[in-house]
Amino acid sequence: MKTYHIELLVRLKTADTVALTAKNTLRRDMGYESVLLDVRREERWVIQVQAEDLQTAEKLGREFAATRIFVNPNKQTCVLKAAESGQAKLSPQKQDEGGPYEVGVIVSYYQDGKAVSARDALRHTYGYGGRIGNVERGVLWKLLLSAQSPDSARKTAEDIALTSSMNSGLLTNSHSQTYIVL
Amino acid sequence: MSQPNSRIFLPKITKVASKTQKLGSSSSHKLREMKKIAIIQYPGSNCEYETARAVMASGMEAEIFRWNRDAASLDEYDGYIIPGGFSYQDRVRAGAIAAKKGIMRTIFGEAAKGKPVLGICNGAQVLVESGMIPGVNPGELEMALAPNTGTSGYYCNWVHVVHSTRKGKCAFTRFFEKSEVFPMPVAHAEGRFVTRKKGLIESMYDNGQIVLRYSTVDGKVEDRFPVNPNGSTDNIAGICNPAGNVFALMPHPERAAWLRQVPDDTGDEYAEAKRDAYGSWQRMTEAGPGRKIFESMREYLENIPY
Repeated sequence: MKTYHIELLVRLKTADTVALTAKNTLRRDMGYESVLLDVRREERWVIQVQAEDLQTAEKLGREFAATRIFVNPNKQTCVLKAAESGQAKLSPQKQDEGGPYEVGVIVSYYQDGKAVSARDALRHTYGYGGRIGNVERGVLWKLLLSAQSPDSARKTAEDIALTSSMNSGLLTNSHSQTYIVL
Repeated sequence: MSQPNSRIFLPKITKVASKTQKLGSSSSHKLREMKKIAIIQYPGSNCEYETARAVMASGMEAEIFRWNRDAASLDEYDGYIIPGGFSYQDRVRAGAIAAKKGIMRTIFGEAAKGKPVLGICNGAQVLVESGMIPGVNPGELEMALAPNTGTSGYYCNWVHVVHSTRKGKCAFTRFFEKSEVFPMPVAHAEGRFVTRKKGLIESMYDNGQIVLRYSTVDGKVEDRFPVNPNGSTDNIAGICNPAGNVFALMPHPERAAWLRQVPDDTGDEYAEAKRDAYGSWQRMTEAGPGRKIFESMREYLENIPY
């Protein structure tokens, strides 16, 4: 048995008003009108699972997605990826030459009760027991940025990601959340 | 067909303008003398009317100020209340979007002049996200109101809080004695005061900024559910800025502003008074513990010129 990471990226089928509000606030109230072209958002779950091989891990991932814990098929769709722990580069950054650049930012809480509840539901309610390791939940923000270079786009994404004052940053409050710029 | 009882339930709104809802006495002379409080209504706010009633009952004029009005006109008011609810549907993070709006920049400037600002529940989240609370370094994000622990979600119940700073430190607790315990309701999913800034909590204690803490009915601060309903650091329920004129409060004082709102089984003096008041509507309309928050605000405005 090996440890695999299953990543579920869940997005709304309908317009995402949270992403739209974030985009409008950043553009209209925070001065990013000329550089921030679009904001999209996906909920990201990472489930650590014990499996015999990659195919089994993927099969388990499909079963998890069907539990309705993570995905409501009436309004959401899901993309599933599985990889052996420590080998995969999950949610890789898309880099187009010449821009605009899409930069991903994953925001998650230090203490997330929903992730704990999901883990416990898989272990106990659905009977996967000890095969289930840690479950993490976060939001993957995808910022489409007009910039001179990937580094410049990444710097802008950092500024947007970390809230340090009333006037700067939006996506993360570092006192309760952590973030990664991909 | 006549509906004889419907009159009882009509709201006491005396004027409704296109973008403004004024609530208060019809006496213009009285209005001129009364302090005028702006109650900020964001899309998703849902406690503005009962907050306005508590303000009026405390001898001030209340005006609901919609988010799409000219923020600069806020300087006409004597004080500000950001009420509870779900501003901008809690999108991104509770209070995060509202904190970025021009209204908060204006209130930030007015607070620096000494005007009182009260944030209740979602309003407290807005004050924290805008860096006005704790305000050790004004404008800097120094805390968060994180998701509750212990209940794993939204929690709504009556709790007790103990006044933990010296009398007179905070503009909104001037009528509370040190160590006074009283009941108020909480209703939130993200109410846990946390910080990762080393030494901040200690300096807040030194400054007298830890105003209210969740406690037992006897005033014991015990870090266990349901005494601490959300896992807040040091059982913190309410924090003021160093000057004492900005106050972020997770419980809802406007829902405890009349004795009739208070439960009769909380084991405190208000519960006893409620039981004694059964059968007397006049006694039921007497002030509840939350009224003192608003009366303190009025008293601050009348005695501290800014």
